[in-house]
Amino acid sequence: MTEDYHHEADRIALYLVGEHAGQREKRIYAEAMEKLRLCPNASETALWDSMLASTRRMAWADAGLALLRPDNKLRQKLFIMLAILETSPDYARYFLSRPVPPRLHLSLVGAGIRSVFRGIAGVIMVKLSKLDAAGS
Amino acid sequence: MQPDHDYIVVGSGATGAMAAQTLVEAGVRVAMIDVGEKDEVYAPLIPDQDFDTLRRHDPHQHRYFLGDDFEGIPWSNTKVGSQLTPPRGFLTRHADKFIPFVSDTLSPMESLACGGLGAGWGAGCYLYSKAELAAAGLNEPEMLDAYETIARRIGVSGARDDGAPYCLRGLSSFQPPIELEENSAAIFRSYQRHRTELNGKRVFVGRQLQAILTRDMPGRKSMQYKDMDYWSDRDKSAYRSWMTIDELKKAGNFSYHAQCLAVKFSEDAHGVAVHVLRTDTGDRQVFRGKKLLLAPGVLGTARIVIRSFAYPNTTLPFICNPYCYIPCVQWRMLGKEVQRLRSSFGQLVMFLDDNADNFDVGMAVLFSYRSLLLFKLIKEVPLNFSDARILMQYLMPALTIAGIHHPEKPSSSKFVGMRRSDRTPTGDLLAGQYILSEVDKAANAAREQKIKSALRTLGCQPLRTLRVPHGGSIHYAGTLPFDPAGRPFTLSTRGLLAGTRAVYVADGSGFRYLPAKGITFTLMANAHCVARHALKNE
Repeated sequence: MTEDYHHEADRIALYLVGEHAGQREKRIYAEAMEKLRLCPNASETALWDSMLASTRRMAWADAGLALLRPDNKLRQKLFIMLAILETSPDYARYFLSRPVPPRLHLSLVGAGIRSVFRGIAGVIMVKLSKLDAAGS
Repeated sequence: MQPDHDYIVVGSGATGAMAAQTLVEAGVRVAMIDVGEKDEVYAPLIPDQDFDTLRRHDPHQHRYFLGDDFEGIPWSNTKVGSQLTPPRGFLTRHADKFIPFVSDTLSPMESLACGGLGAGWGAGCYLYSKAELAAAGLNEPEMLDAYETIARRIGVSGARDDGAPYCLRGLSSFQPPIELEENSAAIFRSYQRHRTELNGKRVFVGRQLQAILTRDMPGRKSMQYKDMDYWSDRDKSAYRSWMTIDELKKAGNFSYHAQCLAVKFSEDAHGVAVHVLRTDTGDRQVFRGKKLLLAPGVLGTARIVIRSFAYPNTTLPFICNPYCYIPCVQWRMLGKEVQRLRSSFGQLVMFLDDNADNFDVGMAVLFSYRSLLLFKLIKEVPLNFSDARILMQYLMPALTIAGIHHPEKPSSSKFVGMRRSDRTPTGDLLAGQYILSEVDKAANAAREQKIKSALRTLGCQPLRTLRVPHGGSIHYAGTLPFDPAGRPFTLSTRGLLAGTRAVYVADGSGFRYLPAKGITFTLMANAHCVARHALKNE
């Protein structure tokens, strides 16, 4: 089970910040999963497996869940890893503010467009996965 | 039976601590009864460094930022208090077990901690106006004198600016204000440019009077700008009630009794008996004193008084400030780096005085956001977490949170009362109802629109209005309203509980009105006044 959690932690970190998770972050994520006992149901497990197989699909599903089921357990797992990464010195740079030159402000527009696309793809993906209401 | 103590004080929060200090300084024997929960886990883990340095270098930071049980990663915000940081989690520890509260419409926060809810106070201090004091049922000359006493005791800092009529009045005992961080400073500069226009709309912005030191006091350091104010009290720059309790413990005429939950009182010819449930053993115990000062908080006092009078079906009025918060973006700060050394506390405060009479004033405290961590904000964005992180990292230097409080009056749709229960250690629980009238809702909505408009004028674009459950303001009052006629379940203007000879109430139970301005400083001043009244017959 711990190995599974370590694998999950690694895939989520890759999706959230584009870097693999360190051993410390994997260990903390596994500890969180053991303590919080977030058990996805059957339909959630199928979607979760799909998310773990591809960071692109993880982004789509996360975006879809954010719009349709923001309190879903799968999203909670992503959120926990997000919090773990934020409170790790090795990943602090992804969360602390830093000066952004004006020319880079446009790149945020690009990120916004990407986000809209992810949202559309995600809504379709989540609808197709037919999550149980109990999974919300 | 002869009493063991001159005075018994129930509760160690802002009011209990101030009342006890007044009594102890008068030389009488004081026993404080308190459950006294403390944080013994996280405080020792937090290094003496600033937030930015800790974030970049401390490999153990997840323990105090997230909590050993990950309680610092709130997923549901339905419960008031779920946003407490792990080092502040002790504030609500065991409250559900020993002082349960049930309601579909009200979610108050209560504490069994040493220092009570004062241990998590935002440190904002406000002197009520003449009209506000009168509406609350408080004596103005007496309160103005008490405000000075409390300011000297706890140490406050502020500035005489446009906010002064609403928070400082004629107070003389205060230190210079804390340094504004860049985000707040930019807003304040914008206010100076738009001052005439905003004042014409009855909007005033000023520095907040705060229970924060900018000059050292004995045993306490001035503000060190570490931005760790929601996590650690290491420097003791911001006043916490437990600091007073720690000082009182050194006095020979003060005794502190922890693990004691006051359940009810009874009076006889010799004084007052306080019946206590020990929270560690479940045993019952009785403390005897000549006089009793109740200060466990408004809801705690309501429980004790209803049990003591054995009127189980009584309901008491209840008021609390409606509250919401609005994240805003200050465009001119986009893309800038947040300065390393700064304070986490709200630094500016906006007052909306529609009627130009310093009454029913709306209030917004303006906070900059960093040390409560980005992931909590990311959760509120309806995007995937990866893109939301990029967006919020970019927005963070420009984020201002406006916490809006509304004034509050009693009504028949807001009340609390006791119910029997076999599942609680005391055999009962407190229940409540809180329903705002349509008129109140409309008035609050109109006030919020005016505040949002003023924020836009200052260059802060409101993003969305987030409403917390009723009770989220953590300002409670009005259960035993001041009533010179002495009707049951009321207080005299001196704080004496109707139907008793020697039971005083030193918390906010008597306040008949709650201004939007924070209540804590006024609660402390009132507690000092009540203690002085109780002493008068000595």
